[in-house]
Amino acid sequence: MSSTPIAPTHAALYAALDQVYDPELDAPLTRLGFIDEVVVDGGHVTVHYTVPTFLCAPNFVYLMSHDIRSELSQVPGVAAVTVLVRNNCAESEINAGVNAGKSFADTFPDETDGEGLEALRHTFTSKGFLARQDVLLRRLRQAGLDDARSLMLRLADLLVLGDDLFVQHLPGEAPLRLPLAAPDLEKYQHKRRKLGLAQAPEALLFTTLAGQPLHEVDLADYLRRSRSARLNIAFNTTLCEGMLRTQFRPEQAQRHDSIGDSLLTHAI
Amino acid sequence: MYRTTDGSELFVVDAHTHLWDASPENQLNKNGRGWIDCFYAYHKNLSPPDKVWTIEHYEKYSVNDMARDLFAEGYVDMAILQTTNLFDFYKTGFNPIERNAKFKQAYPDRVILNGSFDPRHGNDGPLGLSALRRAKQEYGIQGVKLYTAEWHGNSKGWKLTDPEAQPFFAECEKLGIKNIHIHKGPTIFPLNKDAFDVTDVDEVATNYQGLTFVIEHVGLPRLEDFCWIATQETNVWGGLAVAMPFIHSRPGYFAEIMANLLYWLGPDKLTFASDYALWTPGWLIDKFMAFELPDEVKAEYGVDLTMEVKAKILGLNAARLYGIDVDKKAAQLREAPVSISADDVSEERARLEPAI
Repeated sequence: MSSTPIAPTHAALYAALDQVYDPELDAPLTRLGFIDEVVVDGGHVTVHYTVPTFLCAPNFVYLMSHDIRSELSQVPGVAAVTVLVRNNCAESEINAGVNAGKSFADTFPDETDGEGLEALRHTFTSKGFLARQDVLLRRLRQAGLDDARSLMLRLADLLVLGDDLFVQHLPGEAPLRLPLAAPDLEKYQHKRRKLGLAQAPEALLFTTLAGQPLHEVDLADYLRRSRSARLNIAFNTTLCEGMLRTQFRPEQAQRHDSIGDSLLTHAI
Repeated sequence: MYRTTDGSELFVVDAHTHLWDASPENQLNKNGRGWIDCFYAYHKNLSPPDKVWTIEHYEKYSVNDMARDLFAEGYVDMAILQTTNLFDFYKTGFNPIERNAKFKQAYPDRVILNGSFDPRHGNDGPLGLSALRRAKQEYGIQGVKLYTAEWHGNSKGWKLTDPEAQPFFAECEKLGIKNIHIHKGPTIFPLNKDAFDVTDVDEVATNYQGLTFVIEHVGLPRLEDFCWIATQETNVWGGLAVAMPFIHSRPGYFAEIMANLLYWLGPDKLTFASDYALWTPGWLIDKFMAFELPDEVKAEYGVDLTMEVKAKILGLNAARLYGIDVDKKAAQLREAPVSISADDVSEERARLEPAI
C-alpha cells in the first residue's frame, strides 16, 4: 500500500455517479443530464448539479444530493465531497444540510413527521419495479411469447449477449431472440435487487413486489396498474428533461428525444 | 365555437385560465421570479416555436390580449377563471379573484369566475371563511380553485384532510359552491412524504358528496394514483391542463394519457383546459380535433377518442358541471362575436404601461 493519496479519476467518479438515480424518474442523474460539473481538487471532490424545476420537492432533491455524496465518498482517493444543487427553492437549506452530513429531518425541523426518506424511496422503487416489469413482459409478447409461458420463466432462462436478450422459453428449442432488450432486463433487475428479490438461477423472473408468483388469471388487472405507473414515469421523465434543456442546456433546446421513451413500447 | 370539416359546431369551454401579473414590479422576492421563470419554461418547452411569447409579454398580459387569444382566435365560447394567489411571492398576488374579475367585467357572458380559500387563513384572513362568503355574495362564485402547495409564512402547504379545512368544505356545500378545483402541487406537509400524493382527495370526496372535485392536471405527476381514486369516487373529475400541450411535443405520450383516462374515468368526467397563459387554446384545439388514438392503443385499452367524446371533453362536460344551457348560450354568444383589433391591444398597452 502506498501512503501517497492518488487523486480520483473522472472516470471513476462518473461511474459512481451512474449509481445515483432520480428516485422518481428511475434513471441515473448522469443520463438525465443533471450533472453540471465535477471539480477535483486533490482528494476533495465538488459536484455541481441542476434540478429541472425550481419547485421540485425538497425531499427528492435531498435524496439525490445525499446519494451523490455517499456514492462518491466510496471512490478510492476521495477524502471529502461537496454537493451543490441549483435551481431549487430550498437549495440553501439542502446544500448546507447535506454537506454537514445532517439528515433530512434535522435539516427541516418541524416539517417532517420524523420518518426518514427511506419510505419515500421504497414507494418509487416499487413503481419503477412495476414499470420495468411491464416493459419486459411486453417485449416478450412482441417476440411472440404468451403470458402464461412468460410467467413460468426463471432467471436461468435468460441470457444477455451484447444488447440482445435470449430467452430459453422451451427446453430443447432454439432460444427466442429479443433484439436490444438487454437494457430492459438490466433495468428490471436493478429494481429487483433494490427490493431484495431472489437472485438464484431457479428464481421466477416475474413476481409481485413481495416475491409471490403472478398467476395469469390476475394479470389483466395487475398490468393495468403497472401500465399507468410506467406511463407516469415516462411522462415525468420527458417533462423534466425538457424543462432542464429549455432553461439550462440551450445547446440541447431543440432535442426531443427522451430516456422516458424506452418505457413507451408502441411507436412514439 | 369550433366548426368541424362537416360543418357541425362544437361548444368550447376553456376550464382553466388565468389573468396573472408576474411583472418584476409585482414580484415580492426571488420566489416570485423563480415561479414565473418555471412557468415560462413549461410554456417554451411544450409550445410549437411560433406560439412562444417573449418573457416580458408572458409576465404580464392584458384583458384584450386574453380576449383575443381565447375568444377571437382560440375557438373558446366560455372561459373559467381560476385563482392562484401566491401572496408570499407577489405583492398583489399572482392572479387573485380581484384581478381575474377584470376579465369577468369585460366579458360577463363568457366568463365564469371562481374563488378560492386557504384553511390557514382562519375566519378573517384574506382567504378565510368570511372572504369566501363575500366572494359568493359579490361574484356569485360556483367554484373554488385550491392550491394546497401554497406557501404561507412558515407553512409550505396543507392537506385537504386537515381538520382546519373541514369547515370550508362544509361552507362550500352550504353556499352552493359545488365545484372544487384542486391543483396537486409539490411541498405538502410533511415534507418527507410524497409531495404530489393525491390520496387526500379520496377522503374528502367520500365525505362531501354534494361537491365535485376536479383534479387539475389530471393528478400528473401521479396519474396512476389519480386514476384509481377517480374510478372509486363518482364525484372526482379530471382537468386536462398541462396534459394537453403534449399533443404537440409528444403525441405518443398524449395518446397513452388519454387512453388511461378514458379507460379509468370514462368520457364524461374530463374537461379541456389550456391553462392560459401557460399555453393558448387555439393551437391546442386544432391539434386535439385532428388527433386520433393509434390503433394499437385503441386495441389495448378498448377506448376511442371519437368526435362525440371530443365534444364532451371540449365543452359539454364543463357546461354540465356549471349548469350552462349549451343551446341557449351558443345562440346568445353568436349574437355577440368578439373581435379584437391590433389597435385595441396597443391602446390598452399604452394605458397600462406609461411611456418612459
